[in-house]
Amino acid sequence: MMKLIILAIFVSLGLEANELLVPNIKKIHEAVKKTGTSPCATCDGQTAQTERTADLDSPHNRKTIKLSVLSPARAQEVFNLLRDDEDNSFNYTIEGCFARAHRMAQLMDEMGIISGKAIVDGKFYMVSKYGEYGWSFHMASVVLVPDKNNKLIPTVFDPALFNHPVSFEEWKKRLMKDPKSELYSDYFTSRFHYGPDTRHIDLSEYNEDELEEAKKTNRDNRRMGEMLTMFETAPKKGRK
Amino acid sequence: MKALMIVVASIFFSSHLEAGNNKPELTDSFTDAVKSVSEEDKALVVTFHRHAAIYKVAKADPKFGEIKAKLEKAQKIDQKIKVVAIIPSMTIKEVKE
Repeated sequence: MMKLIILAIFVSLGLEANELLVPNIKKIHEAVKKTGTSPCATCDGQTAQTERTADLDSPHNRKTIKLSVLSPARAQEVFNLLRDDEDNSFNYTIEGCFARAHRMAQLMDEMGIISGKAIVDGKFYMVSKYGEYGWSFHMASVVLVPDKNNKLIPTVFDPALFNHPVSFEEWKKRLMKDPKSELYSDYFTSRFHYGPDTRHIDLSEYNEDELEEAKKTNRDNRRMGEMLTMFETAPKKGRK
Repeated sequence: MKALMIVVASIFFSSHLEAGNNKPELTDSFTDAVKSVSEEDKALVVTFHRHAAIYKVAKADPKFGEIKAKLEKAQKIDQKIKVVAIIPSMTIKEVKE
């Protein structure tokens, strides 16, 4: 009975929290809604930040992705905003990279930044405080950042693995750190792709159902992360 | 509000802890299509199309045969299934067609 009452309180609080947790996604600027359109091409002054763009080739799926070019300083600034986003789920990284990357893409849309997705397929093993776990693919956001020689480097935003933007090569190296890990393929897609399965398809806008699913996944995973933390910190019961 | 939720959830989980043979168990559930099913020494290894984590079914699980059959059937006919998995071990506990 006690458990039922507690469950009822928990559920009602959960429903209330859902309303509070509605992500603060503002209307996406028309200029950044379409692939390949520079935010400033039709800019009406509402976009907070304007960025230049350049093309990134993705040989595996034979696509060319248009991405914003950010200075290293701007990239770190954007990374920090994405990492600290309370509507994302970086407190639970075992699952849900697809939803985290989708949320990051939307946030960057708001900033007038055209991002893409960096994706690897294979077997990737990670070690966390909860033990070892594996991924059959992994994905995160990507933009272009010039190096010291002004060469544009595909740069990944993945707060699940790093505390700063990293080159695509460094990102893959981290994923391959465990000797058991295997890389089958690596490629890029536009920001509109929710998962790896659509990598060969050209998409020019977000799928509304996937946006909703990403929102729900991030919300559920955030709670999962909070619960895992509680499990860790909960006082040990006297066990028989 | 967040703090209150954590307190209430703590109570909920402590009661769960007491009820479940003193062994805490946190589960996640999702619906997805099966990408691959392969057998290893002690477990069945399962991957999904949307969910990135590699999930397992322990051969010692009394429901191993039943879960394996459901996963293989779902993969064969490309049907989405509901999966209940223990977190953070990513062990599949139940499959609903």
